[in-house]
Amino acid sequence: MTPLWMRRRRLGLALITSVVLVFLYLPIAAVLINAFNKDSTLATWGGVTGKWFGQAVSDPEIRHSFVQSTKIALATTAISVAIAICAALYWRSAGRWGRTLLDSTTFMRIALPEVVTALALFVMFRRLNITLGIWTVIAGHVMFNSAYATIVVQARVAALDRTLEDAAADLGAPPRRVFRRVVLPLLSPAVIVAALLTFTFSFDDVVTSLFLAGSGTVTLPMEIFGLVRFRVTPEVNAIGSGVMLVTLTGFTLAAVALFASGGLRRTIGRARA
Amino acid sequence: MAIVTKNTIGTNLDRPPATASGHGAVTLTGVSRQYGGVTAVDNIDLDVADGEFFALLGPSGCGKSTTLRLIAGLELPDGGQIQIGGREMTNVPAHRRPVNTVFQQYALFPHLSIFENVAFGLREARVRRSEIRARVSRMLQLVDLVGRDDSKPRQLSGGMQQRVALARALVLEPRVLLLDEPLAALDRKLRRQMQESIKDIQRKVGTTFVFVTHDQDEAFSMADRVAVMNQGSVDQVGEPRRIYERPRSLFVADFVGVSNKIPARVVRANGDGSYEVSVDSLGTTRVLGVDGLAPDEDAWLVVRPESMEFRVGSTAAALSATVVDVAYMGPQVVYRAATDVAGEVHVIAPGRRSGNASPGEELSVGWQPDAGWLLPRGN
Repeated sequence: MTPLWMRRRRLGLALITSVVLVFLYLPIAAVLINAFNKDSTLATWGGVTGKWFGQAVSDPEIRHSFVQSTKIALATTAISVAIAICAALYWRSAGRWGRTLLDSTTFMRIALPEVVTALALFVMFRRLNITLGIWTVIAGHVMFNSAYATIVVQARVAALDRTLEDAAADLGAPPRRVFRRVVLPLLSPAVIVAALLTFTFSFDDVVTSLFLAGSGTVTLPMEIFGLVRFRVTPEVNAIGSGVMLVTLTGFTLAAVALFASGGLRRTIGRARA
Repeated sequence: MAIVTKNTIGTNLDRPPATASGHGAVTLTGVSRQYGGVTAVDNIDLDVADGEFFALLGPSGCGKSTTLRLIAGLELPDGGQIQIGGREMTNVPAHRRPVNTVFQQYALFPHLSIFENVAFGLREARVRRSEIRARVSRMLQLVDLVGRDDSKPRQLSGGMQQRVALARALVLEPRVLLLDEPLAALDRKLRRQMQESIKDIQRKVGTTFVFVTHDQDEAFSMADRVAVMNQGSVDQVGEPRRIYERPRSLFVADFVGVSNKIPARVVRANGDGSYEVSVDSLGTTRVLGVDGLAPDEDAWLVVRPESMEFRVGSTAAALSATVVDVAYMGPQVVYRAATDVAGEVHVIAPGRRSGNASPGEELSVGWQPDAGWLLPRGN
């Protein structure tokens, strides 16, 4: 029999954990629930409806901003992952100074508050007379996302067995083919994870987008931000739920990819051995 | 009789056998490689003949693996020239050299099946699909791996992975096959089997093999000729028997086996490779030795333990000794005995015919007159 004090302590911990979780997830649950609320004032529960989703989807402004966000996220992903692969491969063959330099620029981009980098880019683009728009937003997103992607890919590169590349060269593959047939396939789990993370971070970014979008470009999170300034409508809840779905899908796929490449495979390997 | 032996072994066997084409499979001329000021390979010359099984033998860090990587093109030399099949290859990158390598940890591609691993080089060479299929399966048959085409490398045992690595390299029909300590990761029994099957495969395909190992048994049992490397240089090249019986330096003598070193002084060089030497308390005897020893020079008379024997009573060509330890090994018995003149010596006698010497016993140890080999004291 477990002593009383121990049971009490366990109960106390469970209680605190539950309270924290409730406070964290209750607002999110409220968004999800209200997305289906028939009462347009959201004051009461008026029954279940799907019409807010329909309304959101048919709203041309929301559709436009969704397309903009998707374009930006896709471009950001492609550029960030390319930068990450190059940086990680450079890092591997670099000397001590090169490594330190690369690592510090990477961590700097993560450590600096987003407002600061966004502001800095904003000032720079203005100085250079570059018109703000979709490409400046992409540049801003790449700025911090490529850092996250680099860290993910770098970990995999560090574990890469260099003799495999020697073997490929020895078997007649020129450097370009060694990369294509050996390095890239072996890095692919990390590349997929980096891509999904980058897409997700870019898709729901507000701060950098606000600074760098200029007047003509509106992303989905910016659109939502604009909508809630007047009133929280059920439509906003529906859009919020939609964004949540996109983001969660991204993270889930990333987690699955990570698990499938590392954890799962290692577990199977151990079971076989 | 000893001198006749010297002459037959002496002249030709340090050189590679002559080939029909007139040039060797691999020729290194004055090749050097440094890493940040440290010389890994120091001005070496090597000549490997066509169809030969050649071993590079030496302790770790002697530069043997670097030499192999230089031949493969995975490293480029700082100086010297490399020719493969008579063609200049010094600065040709690895993927354009007609050599293939079996790596120490096999380096199989973990994301590819066994079939695709073996087909890797053929695809790079843009061989027709049907031919790839035929050549890969023929090769998997040669290394006794039929039916494992779709397995991934990690599903195979160490010995099987080793054979895949061999198949993957041989399927390209290289001019020279390089093997970098390919058996080091296997357990002892499997290693024996693999040594034999690699030797069989080499005989079957007739390809030139250059094999790197730190294991003297392995080098001797597999190779036609062995190069003993030490600190980036080649100390001696020759047939195993010659390297064992006629080592050129004390390093070679010690690395390829146990040597009993008896202090001796050169009395006279006979000019035919033999010397008159005086060994303390034994008077003068006649022995073979390396060239260039001068009269009055201090030298080592090196005798292998299996050429030593116990004798009853004290005879002329023998040292008085006290047995220190007896180790029964099955096929042979290894004795350690303390002598006044040569310190502790090892004596190996065949297990079955061995006498019953036991620790503490006082005997004398002698050696067959043609079994001694004279080396300079300096090194």
